[in-house]
Amino acid sequence: MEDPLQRTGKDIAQIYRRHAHTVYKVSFMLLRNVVDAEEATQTAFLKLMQSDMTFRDNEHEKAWLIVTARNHCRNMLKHWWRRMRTTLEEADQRLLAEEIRHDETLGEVLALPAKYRLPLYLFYYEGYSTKEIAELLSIKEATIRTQLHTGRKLLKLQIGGEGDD
Amino acid sequence: MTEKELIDRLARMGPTDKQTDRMLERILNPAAKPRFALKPSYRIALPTLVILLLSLYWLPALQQKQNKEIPQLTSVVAPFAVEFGLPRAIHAGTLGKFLNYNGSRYTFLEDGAAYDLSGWKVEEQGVLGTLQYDIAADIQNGGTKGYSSRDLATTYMNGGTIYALPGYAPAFRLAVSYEGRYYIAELSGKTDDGVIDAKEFVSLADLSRMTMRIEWLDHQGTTVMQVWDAKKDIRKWSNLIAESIPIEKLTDEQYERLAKARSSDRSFQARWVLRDGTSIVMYLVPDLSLLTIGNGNYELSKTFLEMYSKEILLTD
Repeated sequence: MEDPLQRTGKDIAQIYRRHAHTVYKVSFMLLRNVVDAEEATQTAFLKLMQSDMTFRDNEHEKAWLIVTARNHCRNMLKHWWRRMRTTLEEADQRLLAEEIRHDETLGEVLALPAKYRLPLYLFYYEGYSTKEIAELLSIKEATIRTQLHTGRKLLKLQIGGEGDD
Repeated sequence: MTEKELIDRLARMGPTDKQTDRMLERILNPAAKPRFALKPSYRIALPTLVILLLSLYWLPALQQKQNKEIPQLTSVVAPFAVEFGLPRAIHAGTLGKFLNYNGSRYTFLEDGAAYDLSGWKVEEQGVLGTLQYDIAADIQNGGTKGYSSRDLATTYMNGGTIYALPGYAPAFRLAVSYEGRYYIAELSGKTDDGVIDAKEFVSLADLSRMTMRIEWLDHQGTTVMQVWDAKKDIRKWSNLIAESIPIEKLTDEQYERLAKARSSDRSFQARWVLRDGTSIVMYLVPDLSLLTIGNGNYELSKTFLEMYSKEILLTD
């Protein structure tokens, strides 16, 4: 799709416009924290800048970014340094508080255990099938179906199941 | 909680425009002030982590599995004009660029532009036929030879050789080689003027897999009013379009209402933007439950209208 050796800032900006929202949402679903989600999003695109990966099409590009962001988030959650990080400056905190006013009802979704949040997001919001999610996350399709089923149950979701795909 | 409520909540997750701009600025200008400060010793940990992640050996293999390769179809030479000079009463000015093959009618993509198919090994697919009957010339002579419904007849690139286009069902798209250049023709009808089954068209075009997004535009195709790019929506659209019922012939009243709808901005385009860089345009008149694919007209399913009327109405 692109020649990675010639991937300029302009190219990155175009890819960013296509996928920034998805990458941020994936990161936020996993980290539940605005600052960390921003950092993970930036990191995913910085990795793209450094990578020599060539993409076949936009879907391939999007899948790569989702996997990269998800892996980075998992590492962030695992590592001790995340907890040791110094807090944001107060001014930044205020700025963020003004900018980001999340709907409180989102808390219900974010309160789910981590393993249910990402499959639910990918299935219902991004429209991936259970098979595609299984490939994307390297998890068995049956496990994804179970996670969706349990996630829905926990949310008391009155909707169709993964048979939709 | 309903599915819609869940999706609404997820949509509100962000990022805001300010966040989006800020993150982009930091990506393009990594020297900018960092979002937060790390204790000095931990600053070593972050780059190390990045390098470790980059070296994950299984990642490229994973991406190989995610999508089958879809090469891009790129037009390289503008189409040639077809010289008609036909009696106005017959088809004057309305005869498009099409060919007949195996009982089906195929319309040339991008009004007959040449495509760069170097590396596609088209010739290795074997010859399907040679275009040898000139429909335009026949019509000029009163259509006595009946070329318009004959296989291997064409209005464009007569003498060209037909090949299968690698990666596509020959019943959907064909490659035509003429004087060293390639042209692509896409299924648009039947040579006996019958209507293709909508389900068959959706299946042959593999719309569910090949579509990147669906754009909803005005009839002229100048203004995009709505876009569906979630895979789930594309699948729903494909399934519902496949349910449309062929209308063999429109009544005079339907023609009148159709003309009225077009002149009063009640007719729209649904443009299926495909992953290979091409697109398929369908015309819809929701007020008349009418859909046009290629040369055929169809009645839209009630489910389609119920499901999308709200979104379509919002764009009026």
